Order: sequence, then structure tokens, then C-alpha cells
Amino acid sequence: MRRAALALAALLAAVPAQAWVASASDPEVRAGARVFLEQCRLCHGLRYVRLAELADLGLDEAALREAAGPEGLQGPVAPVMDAEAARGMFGLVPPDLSLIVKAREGGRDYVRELLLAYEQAPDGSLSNRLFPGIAMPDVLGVAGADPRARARAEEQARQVAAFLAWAADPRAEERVRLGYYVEAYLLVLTVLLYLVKRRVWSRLET
Amino acid sequence: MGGRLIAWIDERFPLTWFIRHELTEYPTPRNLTYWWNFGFLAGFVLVLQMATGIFLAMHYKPDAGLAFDSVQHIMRDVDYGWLLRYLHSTGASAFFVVIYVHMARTLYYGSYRSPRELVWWTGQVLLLLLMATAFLGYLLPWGQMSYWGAQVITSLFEATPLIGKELVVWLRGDFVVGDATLTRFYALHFLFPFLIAAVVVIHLIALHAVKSSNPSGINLEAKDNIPFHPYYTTKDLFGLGVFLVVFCGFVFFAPDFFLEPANYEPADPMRTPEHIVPEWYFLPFYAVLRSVPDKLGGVVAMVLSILIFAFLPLLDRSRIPGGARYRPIYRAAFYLFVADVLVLGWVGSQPPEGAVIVVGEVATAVYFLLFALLPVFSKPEERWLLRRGLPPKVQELVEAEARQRAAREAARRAAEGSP
Repeated sequence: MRRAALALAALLAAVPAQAWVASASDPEVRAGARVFLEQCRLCHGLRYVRLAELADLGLDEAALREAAGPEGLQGPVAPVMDAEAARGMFGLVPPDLSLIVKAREGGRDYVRELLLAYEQAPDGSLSNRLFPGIAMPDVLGVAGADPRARARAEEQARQVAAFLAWAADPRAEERVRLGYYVEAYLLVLTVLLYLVKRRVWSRLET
Repeated sequence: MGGRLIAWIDERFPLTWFIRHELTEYPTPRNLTYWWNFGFLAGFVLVLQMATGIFLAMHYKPDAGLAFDSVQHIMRDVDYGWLLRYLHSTGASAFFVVIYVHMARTLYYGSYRSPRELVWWTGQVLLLLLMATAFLGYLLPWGQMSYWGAQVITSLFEATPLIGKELVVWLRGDFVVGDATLTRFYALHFLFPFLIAAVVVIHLIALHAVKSSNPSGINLEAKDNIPFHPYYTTKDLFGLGVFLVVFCGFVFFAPDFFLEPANYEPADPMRTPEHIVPEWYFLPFYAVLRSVPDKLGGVVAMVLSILIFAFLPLLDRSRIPGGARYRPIYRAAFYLFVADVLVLGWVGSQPPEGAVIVVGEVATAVYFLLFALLPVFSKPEERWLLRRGLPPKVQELVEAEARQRAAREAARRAAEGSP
């Protein structure tokens, strides 16, 4: 019994939560947060994420304070451009991205691929393979990029997607970690219940 | 001390009698398989839904302007709010899984047969209440699919003759689904589980009057019955453990498995999603609705596809107990029915175009045909099986029941003959 418990504990330690979900301690998520603040935030906000949570991710607090509104670090990540200006420029209000990874089929991969799906047509016009008619410009400079710039864009797209996956579900890491313990507990409990059941039923003559 | 307290209570309230009668001496067939666990599991999920629901209600705001935000508040800021909410959302799906298995077991073993009609009919009421509660609750997150699902389903009431339009406005409290709808759905979603709990009590009283069916279909002799406690309490608890391992796998590792991505976008009355689908547990009935070209006809077919289960004790004319176990034709019909429901579920999840429409129409026809043919084939099947010979105990039971019926009939005739 004790050996089984030890084996189970070893198994739990060997499976990292990161394998499943975007973790707050993942450098990719932190890097993605920086890209988001520098580029995406010009148009997009994260209404369910507080600036203080980005400070917890490891972003520079002084820089965040500069970006903050009247509520300070307790305020949400608001877009730089206000809704009216955005409507004038793009014809629509850019969507809030707090839940975009959960709101799209394909989740995090969809976001990454969308950012990389820009192409230059022969006549010089820009289009997006996954979202024809998208109002968002080619922020990462993907279309017509040389291999080095392309590699850089791919890295940034991966980082932003990882960050947005975290933003959509910041409790995921806690959830998965607790999940391992809950499952371990339930498995042991279920085995015990089975033994109890067998012992009780053994009283019946056949 | 404890003994005296119990004695004091027993003089005023039948506590010990109740525990004996319903648990420690309640006779249960000893040959029940694990398929008989699912009633207990349904009871467990009901309690789980009520417990998590109460705590969610402490943080949720039933207001069109605040509902979506308050769900995110629960997911992010409330301590273990994500756990409460995922237990509740996964619990809704688990409830239907458990209930559908529970019903399938009843169908397979013919547990709806006399004398268990009232157990089956109270179960039918529970199914309707469960469906209503799930539908009402699905509006509360106020996402795109919540909103448009409610819009589509409430608009079905337009098909009511004469008062259709007024009825829809009355139900919604507005001309479209809106704040008034959300608030009343919340109130009703809170109320219905208590009605369910009350009907569960009636369901159990009905069950304890006639006792559980069993896989043999034969009423077992006293020596083959065992007390519910401790035998079935331990068996049910082990089943619960297995259920929880699977259930928590979804809650902790794939909590969005049963949720639609579109429901993570706030409700927007100005923008219809490309493809509105109800939750998976409504898909077969939704497919029936869409397979009938006429609107009123579709609604009638859908309602009938759910209520038709209640007619089974009347439609099944065979006297042979044990359901599919001793009846090959009935067994084939059962498996065909299960396959047909799965096909209908797939049809309901697809956009209604081309081949999907044809498959849906055929599957809908098969669905109703199986019920319609049951009274036609059950008598010839019975005659064939009696000729071919049944296991001695079953044969005995059928003959004994026939004798009883004949005796009753004779007694009735004698009473009429001598006024």
C-alpha cells in the first residue's frame, strides 16, 4: 500500500501541469504579454485581466503603471485607442481578447495561425487566408517577410497565443494541479470501496 | 444515552421503522447488475447540482448587463469559483448521461412493465423537469449560444394555434429574449430542482411499493432478495467512485469539452451565429424537430418523441418478462433504437443541408416506427417464444400471470352475473 502511494506521488510529480495548459510561470506567456502590450494593446483590450496580474507574470511594474488608467494597477488592460477612433479607422470596434482562445474552435492554435496567415497578392494588396476581409493589419509583418523575419514573427505569434491562452483561463494551472490530487484520491478511494463491497458481499452464501 | 434518544424519537416519529423498512430490511434482488447503479448516480448528481448551484447563485447576477461578467468574476476572482462552475456545467451533461443510461436499462429489461408503470411515468415527469431545468440554466451564462438557443427554442411556442405570438411574448417577458427573460429563467432555474427533488421522492415511494426489477425479469423468491443496506449501499458507492473518476477527469482536465466556444462570446442580439446548436443532450430531439418540414408538425413531433416513452407500458403487449433478455425481436428493436438515437444526435449537430436532411428524415421515421411496431410485433413474438419454449421459471411466471388474469376475469363475470 505504501509503495503504491509512493509510486503514485512520483507519477504526479513527473507530469507537469504545463503540458496541459498555459502556465503563469512559462517564459513564453511572459514574452507574449510583452508583445501584447507593445502591439496588440494599441487596439485590443483584456477587460477581465488586471494590470496587476501582468505584474505578477513578471512584467515591469513601472511600465505597467505608465500604461494604467485612473484605477491604477487594479484596472483592466484597456486598449490605447478609444472605441470611436478605432471605428473611424477600421470601421468597427476591435474585439476584446480576454476570452478569444476559448471562444474560437481550435483555441490557441487558431490565434497563432491567424496571425501568420497574412499574404501579399501579386497586385500588392494584403489578405488573410483564415479570415478573408479581416480589418486587422499584418501586425507581425508576416506577408512578404524574409526567412529571418518570418521566424521572428512565428515566435511572437506563438508567444501571443500562449499569453492569450493564459488570459482566457488564468486558473487552468491551479485546476490541473488540483486535478492530479483529486484523481489520485478518487482512485485510491474507489479501490477501497471495491474492497469493502467485495467483503460485504462475501457474507452471502452462493 | 443514544438508545434512549432513539427510543424517545421512535415514540413520536417512525425513525427506526423507516430505516429498517427502506434500507436495512428493504428487499432488493441480489442479481442486479451495475446497470442498476444509475438511479443512485442520478440522485447524487441532483444533489451535486443543487449544492454547487446554491454557491454559484451567491455570486451570479441575473441581469443582461452583468450576467456574462459575473460568470467571469466567478471563474477568476471567487475562491474555487472555477471549480464550482465547472462542476455545475459538467454536472449538467453528466446528469443527462446518467439519466439516458438509466432509461436505456429500463427499456432493455422492460422494467416499465406492470406493475412498475407509475415508477416509469414519474420518471417521465422527472425527465421533462430535468430538460426544462437544463434549458433554463443554459441561458444564464448569457453567451451567444445561450442567447440564440433560447431565442430559437422559445420561438417554437409560436407554433401554438391562435395564441402563438402572445404566448411567446408572455414567456419571454419581451418581444425578444432579453433582460426580462434572463431574470425569469433564473428564478425558474432556481425553483425547478426543488420540484425535481419532490418528484424524486414520489418516484422512490412508487419504486419501494413495487420493488426493483431485475435482469431475470422474474419476481425473485424471498431467499434471493437481500437487504439494500449494506449490500447495495456498498455497491452503489463503488459505482459512485468509478463515476467520479471519469467525471472529475472532465472537470479538471477538459472542462470545456461539453461547452460551445461561441458561448464564450457575450450575447449579442444584433449578430446571429452562423450555426445555432442546442446542448448535445437535446440534439436527437432537435433533429426530429428539423426533420418535419412543417413548423407546427415539427414541434408536435419533437414533443411526441419525448412523451412517447410514457406509452411504452401500453404499446408493449407481450406478457414475457425480462425485456430484451428473452425476446430476440424486442432486443433487435432496442439496439436499432439506440443506434437511431445516435444517428439523430449526429444529424442535430450538423447544418441541415443535402444528405443530412435525408438521413434525419429516415432516422425520424425509424424512431416513430419502432414505437408504432411494438404493439404489432409483441404479440406474435410472444406466441412464437411460448411455442419455442422459455426458461422454466419464465414459463411458470407467464402461466401463473395468465391464471391470475383468468381468475380475476371469472370473478368479475360472476359478480356481474349475480346483481
